[in-house]
Amino acid sequence: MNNQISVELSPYAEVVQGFKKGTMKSSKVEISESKKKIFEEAAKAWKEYLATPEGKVLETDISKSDLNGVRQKISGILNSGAFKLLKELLEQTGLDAGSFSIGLNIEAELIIGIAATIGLAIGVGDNKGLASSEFITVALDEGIDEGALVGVQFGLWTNSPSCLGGYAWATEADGGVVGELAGKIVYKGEDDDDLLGVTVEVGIGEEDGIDEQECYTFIIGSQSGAGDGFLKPAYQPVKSNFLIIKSVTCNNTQSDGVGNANEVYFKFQADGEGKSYYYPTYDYMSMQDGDVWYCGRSVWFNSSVQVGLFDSDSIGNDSDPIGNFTINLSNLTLNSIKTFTSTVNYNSGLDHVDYTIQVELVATNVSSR
Amino acid sequence: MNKHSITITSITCHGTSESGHDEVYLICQSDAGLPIRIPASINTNHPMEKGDTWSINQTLNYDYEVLVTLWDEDLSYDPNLATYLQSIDFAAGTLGLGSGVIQLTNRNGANYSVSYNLLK
Repeated sequence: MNNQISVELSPYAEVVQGFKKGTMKSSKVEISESKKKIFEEAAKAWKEYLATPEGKVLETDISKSDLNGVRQKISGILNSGAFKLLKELLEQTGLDAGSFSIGLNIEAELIIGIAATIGLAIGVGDNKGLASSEFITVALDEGIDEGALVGVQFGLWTNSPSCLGGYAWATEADGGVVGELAGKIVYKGEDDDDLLGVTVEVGIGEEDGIDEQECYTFIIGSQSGAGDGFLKPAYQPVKSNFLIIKSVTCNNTQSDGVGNANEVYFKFQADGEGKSYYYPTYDYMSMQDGDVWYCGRSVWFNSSVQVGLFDSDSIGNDSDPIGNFTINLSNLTLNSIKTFTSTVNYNSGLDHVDYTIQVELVATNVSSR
Repeated sequence: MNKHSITITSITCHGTSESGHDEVYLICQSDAGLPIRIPASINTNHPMEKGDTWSINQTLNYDYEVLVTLWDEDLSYDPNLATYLQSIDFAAGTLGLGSGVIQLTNRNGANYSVSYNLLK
């Protein structure tokens, strides 16, 4: 069980909700001998890697990792001696592929089941030496375990590493890709029959039996600087108690030298654990003296919630704190709104900063969603 | 089975947050759970300008509250680049059953009214 990575995958999972099922894509494709050799060697190397001291603890490591931890783990895997021959094969000239990828398949249960592949792609063939990219591919699945590692995926793609993003169809390859290796043929888009690539998957434990999958790939980072970057989660696992930050009141803005308004957003963390959530999840709300922002963001917590209020002079920069609020369960009464004032004084010289937040405790002792 | 259901029937634009259209989409989050995007398909939105009404008819189920956030999708799909317009918190016990309208404004000129029907 890995709640943290499930939460971090949740914003990527949002896109799969509009997915449809079924397609008429061909499930047979000719695979060149050089590609077959790469897939065979990749699968062999993966088994060797799992037998190394590092490989033996991979599953446990992933079960404790956050998304960043998984990314770092993937970068390290190819450095294992087990992949030496595979890397030599990928170095060959004239290879009929644009990129090669290795990704860890992780399943998450977020009301709907999600299959995610968190991976790294490198340029091969004519694209050798091009910038590598990191990606997250998400698809609908009947998730079996929260944040569980279920296998590895190797891919050979027609595109360069930074051009693997977007919508695609994956169809189970008839009779496997190479021998008994389970594989998928991936097509770019619903209307475009262009082949995007071929993948093989080596499972840890239960095999994935999905025949067809609509999926979406996010490029989350690349050496070339392109990519969507990380998406922020809004989904929160259930805890015992539930409150709503009903509103933020601006009694006096911070004078930031940029107009009369503050560009307000807040972040919160429940019970001093896990990552912080933002509201708005992106961007901000412009506020001036006397404004009330009826934000209405709800929060699951056990005993306390820490809320930081910020003036976003540059988006995503927490550099201008304008309020800090500590909400303890003991301060709240069920179905009653309480106003909190900042526990930190952000006044500076003649600049008087005054924001309050209004909080309602809505439910207590909740057992599950 | 959730305790409450509300249908977002339509949204009417009385003013946009930028010149021309706002490319509007909604993120609806029930009880801090997995958000639903409207329109559901990625890279889709509903361009709106003053006088436009977007018929939605999406029912949302919840136990305690559902937070509906209006966004302006300025560029291709990347929420990091979206503009927050406003939000409504439909909390249990705060509205009577039946139809109603809530007006939302912000300091950038966005002015929208959201029509709903609280079913239970």
